[in-house]
Order: sequence, then C-alpha cells, then structure tokens
Amino acid sequence: MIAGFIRLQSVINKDGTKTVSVRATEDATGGTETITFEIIDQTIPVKVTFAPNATETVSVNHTATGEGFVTVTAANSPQSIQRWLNVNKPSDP
Amino acid sequence: MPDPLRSAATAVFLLISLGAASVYAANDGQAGAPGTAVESGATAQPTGTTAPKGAAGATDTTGAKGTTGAKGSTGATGGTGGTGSTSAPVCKSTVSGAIAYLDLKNQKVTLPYGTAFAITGGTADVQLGGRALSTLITPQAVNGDYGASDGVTGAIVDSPIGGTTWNVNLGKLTPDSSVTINFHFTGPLASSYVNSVLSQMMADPAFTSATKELATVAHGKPAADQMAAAAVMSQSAASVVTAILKSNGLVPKSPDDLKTALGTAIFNKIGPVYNVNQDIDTLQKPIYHVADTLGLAAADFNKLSAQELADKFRAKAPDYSKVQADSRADAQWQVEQFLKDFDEAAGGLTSGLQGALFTGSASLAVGSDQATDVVCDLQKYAGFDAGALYSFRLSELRSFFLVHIYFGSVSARPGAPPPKHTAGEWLRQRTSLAFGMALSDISGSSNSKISGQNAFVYGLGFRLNKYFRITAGGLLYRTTLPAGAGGATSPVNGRLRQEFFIGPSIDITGLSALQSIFAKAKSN
Repeated sequence: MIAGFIRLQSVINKDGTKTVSVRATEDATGGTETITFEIIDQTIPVKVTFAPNATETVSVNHTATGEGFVTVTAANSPQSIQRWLNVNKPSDP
Repeated sequence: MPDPLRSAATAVFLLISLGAASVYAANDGQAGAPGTAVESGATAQPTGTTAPKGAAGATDTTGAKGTTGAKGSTGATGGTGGTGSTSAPVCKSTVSGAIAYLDLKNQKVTLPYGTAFAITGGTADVQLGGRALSTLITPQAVNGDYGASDGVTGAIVDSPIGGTTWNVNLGKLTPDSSVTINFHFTGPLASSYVNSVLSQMMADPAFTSATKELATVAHGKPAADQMAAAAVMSQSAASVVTAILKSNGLVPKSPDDLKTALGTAIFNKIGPVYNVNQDIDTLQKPIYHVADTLGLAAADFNKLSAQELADKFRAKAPDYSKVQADSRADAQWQVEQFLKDFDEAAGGLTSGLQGALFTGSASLAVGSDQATDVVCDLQKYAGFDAGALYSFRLSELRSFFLVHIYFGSVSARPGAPPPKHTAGEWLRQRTSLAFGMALSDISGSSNSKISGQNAFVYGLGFRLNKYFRITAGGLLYRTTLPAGAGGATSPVNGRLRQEFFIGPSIDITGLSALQSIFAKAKSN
C-alpha cells in the first residue's frame, strides 16, 4: 500500500512533451500499486511495482493545458496529493 | 477693655494653628458658663471641644468613598489621608502644553474644560486589537470624533502624520463630564503585517471551506471551468482577508475597491495561495520526518501556522539528515516549494493591498459614567453657603450665610483629581476662609442676647463633599442683656462680644445650575 506522496510537479521535456511526476513511498508490504493521475481534465492511471518501503518516482505524460488541479491518488490507500499547477510551465521551486 | 478685633484675629490664629479649634471663650472676668454671654476680647480658654476634629473624621470617610478611589486608582483622597499616589490622575488645569495620549489612556490626567486643547502621542502608543498601530499600518493621517456625557460632540479634523508622532486638537469640554474619543488613523498596511494576514487567511475556516469548495467544484473540469471556479474562490478569500483586517481594527477606506483589487490579486496567484496549505499537509506527514529536521516534535510542528513554519525554516537550516536517505531530496524539495509558494502568495496579497488605504480606529472610552470623569472638575475660587450654626454659650441655633474663600482654585468636588497629589493639596482642596452673617435664631430662644438678631461670623470651613461643609469660628455681635435688679442696665450692654460657633452648611453654588458662580471659566 502507498504510504505517502511528495514532490508533485509538472515537467516540460526537451521535446516539448509534458509530464507530471510524483514521488511515492510504499509501505512494508510491497507489490504492484495502481496510481491515478488526474491532470486538470485528464485521468491517467498507471501500475507500478514497489519493493517494500521503497520510494519511486512515478510519472506520466499528458496533453492537458492551462491551470488547474493535479491530483494523484492510489488504489487501496488513503494517501493522495493535490496541487494547483500550470502544466504549461515547469514547477521547480 | 480688650480690643474685639484683636481677639477675633487671635481666634482665627488659634483655629488655624491648632487644627482643631478650641472654644474661644471671651472673658472679661466672668466664669463664662454655657449660656452666659461673655465679653469679647477676654482670655481664651480651651474647653476641650473637638468639633473640628470631628469634621476631619467625617472628611476621612468621604475620602474613603471618594470618586478617585472608585476609579480604581490608588486613591489620592482615600484612607491615606490625602497623600495619594503619583499614579493617580491629576487635573490638567495646572499643566501647560498638549496632553500625552498615554497619560490619558492610563488615566494619569483629566482633560481641561472650557478651552480647546491638543492630544499628542506616538504611533507605537496606539494599540489596535492588542497590536501596536505602527505594526499594522504606516499611519499617514489621524482624525476622529468625540462625544461627552453631557451631549457635547465634536469632530477631530484630519491631521497629517509625518513621522512617528501625531497630534490632534479637540474643542471645549464641560467640567466633570466623561468623554469618548475616537481616533481614526489612516495609512497603507505595514509590509511586515501582510505575511501575518496571509497566515491568518490560510488558517481561517472560511478560507479552508472555500478551497474545499473549489476542489469539489473544479476537480476534473476543463481548465477554463477551473479558472472560473478559482475566480469565485478568490472573491471568498478577499472577504476573508477583509474580515481579518477588520478583526485587527483595520477597515479599508474604500471596501469595494479593495475587494476588487484583492480578488484579482489572489486570483492571479491562485496556485501558490491554494498550494501553501497543500504543502503544509505534505510536510506534516510523519513518513517524511520533516518535523525532525527542525528538532521539533510532530505535535508541535503541526501546530505551526504558515508564517511560523516559514520563519522556522528560514531561521534555522533544516537538518535533512534526519530524513530517510531516499526521501531526503524530496523533503528538501517540498520545503523549498512551500517557501516559494508562501512568498508568492504573500506577494500576491501585497500587490492586492498595495495602494489601498486603511483606517485603524482606536476608541478611548474613558469614563463610562460620571464617576469616572475625564474632564477636570469645575475649578472654583469661592462658594456661598447657607446653614445653621450652634453657639454653645448663647445656647442658640441660628441661621447663617457665609462666603467661603478657598486658598486658590479648587475642584467642585473635593474628591476630584487635583492638580497634584500632596497632603497639603488634599487639605487645600477642602479648607476655606469663611465670612458672613448669622441671622435670626431658629431654636426658639425667647431672650436672645444678640442685639438686632444679626451677627458677623468668621472662621474656617471644611468641605465634606461637593455640597456639605462644617464651619467653625467666631460670632461677633453687639449684646443686649436683660435689666438687672431694680431695672439697672448691664454695663456691658451695647458692647461687641464674641462666641465660638460650629455648624453645618450647604454650598449653594455646588448646585449644578449655580456651580459656575465663583468658578473658573476654563481649567487652564
């Protein structure tokens, strides 16, 4: 089960494609998790396999534009993360 | 033959020097038994009468329940015998120049009456909601209004503030009234205060509710719809900010303009404004041990407001070694993101508040009733009394009228704040020289020894309160004694004689309609 999300950010790649990434930490059980990205009006689920207690970067490419909510949730976990992002720009601090 | 005037002077001297007047028994060789007339100018014989001491005792009682004591001050006229405390209020009548705001606020002075005057203070002296005005706004001008308990009202005209001090002018007030003065300071928000406002906004339940509403309404919608929802949320946030400012005693000079400007500014920074609380939520997750980087317990860390959290991270570099190695960079990124969002949100708020003028109102409601007056009591020089005197030796109770002349100006009420607090001042506020006439007998005496019923009286008066006084002194009269055996006329017939008297009286000029008689038109 996912134990926490952190560092949700928007990335503009060199080729112009847009990515949203998050760092996800698995608890002691490990296994495959379904992580869902809701990027403004696009919903993109991904499956990721985690080792126990591992922290992985999970990212998806998207075609959403403009500003709005980006939310990441995990199946079978209460953990989530949400930020208001302009996905047309990178969001480095 | 003894000189009557000399004996009268002697009597006055004794009254003053003893403090408690001895009975002045004129004696021209007679025993001077009670009820027996004696000739003026004879030897004085103290008989142990303690009338003036009794009067003093009565005054102590008055002092104990005096108005000053009721104010909660240290009781300048209380049981301390009038020595008082330097912190007790003083009537401003003897002090020239403007009245210090802090002195007024701390009830160290009372206001002058009958004359226009100024109040001056520092911008740091004024407190709004427990905070110094200078920490909230940069005051540029002050104005206001005032209202007194007697219905007198006035406006305080706008006065520019160039530095850290301010000055306002008030009009004439009436004596012994209570006044509420409202000061209105106008200026832009202090930059240091904006971060505090932002932090309060983030923690405000109305803001939290608005952001949840935004997330519910906009989530999953196209960007345009989400932006429209964000615009609505920005207006809600603007209302929250306005309410926070108001709770700190600040109101915008133009509320509609501010709401529009603030709504636009927050909307332009909706990302950072929304994300600050999300950042905090992530930082508080125990799995990342961010609290440990500051050496704080999780419970204490979670209590920090947005501003406090930002201050903590900036005051001391977080020790990221406390975070698990594979999350260390993530925790650092999230902290830096939080600081960036906080600064951008604050910048947005600042731009929304920039140029807007706020008015901070401080109300100085000193004197909610007549007992806690802030205007000096009427300063009078003299009083006119009517009362009844008792003469022991004549065994007569006679009506009398007296003019009481004070040793300088005194407050209409003996317990009112005096110009200074000293034992001498306490006594001066109460004592007076008395001169007047004793008129007809009112005790039913059928055989008065006073020729023509009228007699000159003189002495010392001691005020018990605003209206009542005890007077003791001498009564000078020309005698008419009954014919002796064989119709012989007494040899002392037609001579001036003197008796001691004591009696209570009412100060007629203490009555409100007449109180300005013998009084100062203005207190300074």
